[in-house]
Amino acid sequence: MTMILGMPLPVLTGQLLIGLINGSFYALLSLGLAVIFGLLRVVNFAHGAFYMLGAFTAWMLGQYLGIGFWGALLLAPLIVGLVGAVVERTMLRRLYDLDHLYGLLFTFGLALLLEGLFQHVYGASGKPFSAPDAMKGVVRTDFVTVPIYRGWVVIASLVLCLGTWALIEKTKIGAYLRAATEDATLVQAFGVNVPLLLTLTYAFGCALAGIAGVLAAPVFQVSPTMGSNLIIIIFAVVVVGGMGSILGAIATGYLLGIVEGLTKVFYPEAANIAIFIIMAVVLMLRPAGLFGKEY
Amino acid sequence: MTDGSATPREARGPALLKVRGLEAWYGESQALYGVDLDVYPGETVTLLGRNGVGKTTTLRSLMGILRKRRGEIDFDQRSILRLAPHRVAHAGMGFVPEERGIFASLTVEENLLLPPKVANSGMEMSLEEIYTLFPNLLERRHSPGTKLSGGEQQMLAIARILRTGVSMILLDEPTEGLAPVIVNRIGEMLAALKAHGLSVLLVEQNFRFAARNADHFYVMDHGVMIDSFAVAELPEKREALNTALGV
Ligand SMILES: Nc1ncnc2c1ncn2[C@@H]1O[C@H](COP(=O)(O)OP(=O)(O)OP(=O)(O)O)[C@@H](O)[C@H]1O
Ligand SMILES: [Mg+2]
Repeated sequence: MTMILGMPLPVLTGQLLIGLINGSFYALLSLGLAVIFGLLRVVNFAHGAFYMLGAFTAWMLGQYLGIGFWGALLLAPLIVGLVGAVVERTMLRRLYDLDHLYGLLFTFGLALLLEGLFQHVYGASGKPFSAPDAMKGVVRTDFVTVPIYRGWVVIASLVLCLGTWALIEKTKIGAYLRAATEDATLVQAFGVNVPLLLTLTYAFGCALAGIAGVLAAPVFQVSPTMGSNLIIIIFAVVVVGGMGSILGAIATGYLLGIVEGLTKVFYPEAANIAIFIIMAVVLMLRPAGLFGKEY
Repeated sequence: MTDGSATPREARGPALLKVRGLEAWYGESQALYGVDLDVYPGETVTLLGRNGVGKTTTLRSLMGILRKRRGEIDFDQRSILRLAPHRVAHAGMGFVPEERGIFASLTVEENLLLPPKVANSGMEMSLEEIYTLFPNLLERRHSPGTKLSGGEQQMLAIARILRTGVSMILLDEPTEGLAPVIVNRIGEMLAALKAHGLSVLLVEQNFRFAARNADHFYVMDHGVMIDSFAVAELPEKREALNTALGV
């Protein structure tokens, strides 16, 4: 068997793949967080809850309406986006003129509320959610064993991340978003309906978290706390990448997922804190983050 | 307040912009104490006044950016006081801010194309016309907006409003900090706007520039209008102006 640094290659590639899977979720979530923060200046603590909501919505669609994975993958993010839009319209928007701390406190409270609600109704235990039948097998080679569904998740998340990046960098609505991130007042004075843009952006960020939740459901199970377990890591990713950079959020998400995976191979004891150690080092050497602008 | 120009302003038709008793506040502190102002169709009106008297505040209040206001603002004979800024824009009002507002994360061309078409005044310019008028913008169209020189940024800031079909432009100190050659270019632009039939409300500290380009003047002090006169009256106003503007 091929060995690298004293490790059998399949073990190494296996952990690399797990890192890549986790990285896919880190990237999708920190991307949405970065887009929302860029325009709304709100640190969306409810992001993990929307991820959980996406997974639960998919599970409920299957449980109560018999809708399968693909239908859920389409519907659940739309529903989560809609919930996000309503939250922004009715509550979050009232806080824009106040200190940013209020937005953070509000979304934190919202996260607790959503989580508590689902825990109350469905209990704390995880609910199994299966991948579509066509994706249940594994692809096995000498170097690596890839469960088809997980490989597909990595590709799907890459496509979503790059699609979002292209939407922001290459389209007219993306130009509105970038400009409004710099000076929302002026963009509105030009005739752009900025309040609507804010709603759409928040809804879009939440929908991205919702998609991540649906994608994650077959990998991790569906549970009320699945989001809060993840959100702390996501914030570390955002801090390492630097607030406000879209590509930075994406790249850092995958990067830290992989680093975490490899740590599990070479120094398992540190796997759970690897990301936070990196965060501490980055904060010391480059406080604005790897891809953030220095001010 | 007399109007001594050969053709009275009223001959241009009903005022495009009519402001009466406009008051405005930043939080608790009042900045405008009753501003009266008219802009007639096709007219270039210059707002003069010392630093901090409320010229920018007036423009921001007209645009609806500053929300805490009282008084009358009629644009195209319709009250726009309650409209959100994007609705004011769609009523046909264009805004070029004092700090120019060129976006760093957008290319020159993206900056140029950013403001949506808001009206069909018949005075809008196409992208081709704009590039013909400003060849250096064409040359630099793929570089970030803020990589342009100050003068080029100012031209970009004005040019992008020309696409939108507005009938009036609020222009806040376009010559601030620019070299004389560039100031002349901006002057040519203003003449071009005028030739297109656009109305301009210009805030300007550069008195010579204003004298060359405006039809009518208002002088502001401490949040109120203290004088209003046509360009023909300029010579006789010279002395009073020097006192009011502190030059
Ligand atoms: N954002 C703000 N918050 C509070 N007060 C402000 C604000 N902006 C301006 N002011 C105050 O309002 C008054 C009018 O300011 P404004 O910017 O309208 O003056 P200006 O005539 O445009 O001056 P300048 O020639 O320097 O541009 C000033 O006393 C200023 O201190
Ligand atoms: Mg000013």
